Amino acid sequence: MENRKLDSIIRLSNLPDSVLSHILSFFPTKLSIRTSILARRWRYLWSYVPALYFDSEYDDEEFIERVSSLHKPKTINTFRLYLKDVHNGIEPQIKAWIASAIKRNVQSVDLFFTCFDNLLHQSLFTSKTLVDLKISSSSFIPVVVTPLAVCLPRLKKIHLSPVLYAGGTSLSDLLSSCPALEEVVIRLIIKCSSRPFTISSPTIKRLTVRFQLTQINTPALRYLNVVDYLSVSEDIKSWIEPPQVPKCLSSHLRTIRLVEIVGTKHEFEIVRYLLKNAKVLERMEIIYVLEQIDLLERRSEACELEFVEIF
Amino acid sequence: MAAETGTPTTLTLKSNDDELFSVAESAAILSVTIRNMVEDGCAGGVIPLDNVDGKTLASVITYMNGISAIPADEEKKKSYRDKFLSDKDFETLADMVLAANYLNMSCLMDAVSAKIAQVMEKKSVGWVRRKFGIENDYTPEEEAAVKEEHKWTFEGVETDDDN
Repeated sequence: MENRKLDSIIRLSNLPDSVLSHILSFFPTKLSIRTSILARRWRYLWSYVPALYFDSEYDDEEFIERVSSLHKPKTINTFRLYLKDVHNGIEPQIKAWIASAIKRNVQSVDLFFTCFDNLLHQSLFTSKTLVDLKISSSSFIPVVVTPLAVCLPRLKKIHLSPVLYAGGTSLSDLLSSCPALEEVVIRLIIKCSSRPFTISSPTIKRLTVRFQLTQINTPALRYLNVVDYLSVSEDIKSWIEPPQVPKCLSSHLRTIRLVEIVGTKHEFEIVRYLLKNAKVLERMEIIYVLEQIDLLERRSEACELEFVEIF
Repeated sequence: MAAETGTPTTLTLKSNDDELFSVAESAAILSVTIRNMVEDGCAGGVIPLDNVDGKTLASVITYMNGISAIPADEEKKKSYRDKFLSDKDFETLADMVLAANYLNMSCLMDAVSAKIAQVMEKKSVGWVRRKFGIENDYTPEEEAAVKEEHKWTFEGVETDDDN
């Protein structure tokens, strides 16, 4: 057993630089730099890691600037920037860091800011290499961050939370300017306008939203997760069936998760409608138990019903 | 020994210590190395995996079966991976990263790498050297210079007289 242990350790230290550098790409950049103390071979290994991961809790601006200048790769896979306290005057630097990542053909960008005052560089929305974009904030991302010119030909995943939606079409435009988009997560939209928010995309497969969805047109949808606070609080008295069963519902939708169902009549009608029309539904998750639902007619024989308790 | 019955196609994998494992082809082809062998028609008999021992291979197969049983739901896959790796010690993680690299399984490789990063976070330089089998070939002066250069990266790290 000891020999086996020793053997795997020796093999670990014999891994090629490319593999070690891949392992380091999951490290916060500071931890990755710390490995330079291990031995000569490791001294500059961090500077070839195709990822940058900064967190203002551990890294100050000077550090980020310094690392950015020492870091070698012409292309990087991942850029993560968590800034908890952004003080005045640093905005141009933040923009420059993002622009630098985009210039290096980054594929995955993960940003967290406490406030948004024009921090996102325009090039973030015209990247030809970006596959995965996550922007989150402890305050709201005003929708004005979405610029007029958007072209993200390879973007597959977008996560935004939370968003202040002032109306207009910019967020809808953002989504429809991503021809490869498969996964959308938009947590908590606050709407300041009565204009409907629509999501329209032929490619979206997974959709998670926390707001009142007015209209979706997503024929490739496989997974829909909606938390609809407004309908619950407004106590909508009636629900009107669409004149036609959407194709995505009848022939594509396999999983539905209903959260915070309180048992209003319209919720019951929606559930009845979904079960009646979703022909390939495999799973419906309902948070809050409503035993009557189990008795409803189901069009898909394969569909299992599970009542999930919230803890 | 993992045994699958009633699956359409089953592959037999052999570890470097001659243990045999049956695994559904649909799960095994998560490994690009195995998938290439299957596509090249080399999977008729026993597939020898010269760089993976029986204990590690059994664990990798558990992972293959577990993750391929989860439908396309990234959150559930992620929580399966987290749970799968939660009780593994560093030596096992080292074996897993080597196996994932050899088998070319990017999802396992990424998850184990992230876990190793988590384990290493607060560990001392000496601990990491021992665990990775790294011989310190710096002269004391060089080491002091590197440490001085990056001294701000060592805040909150254990000192070197721990295990």
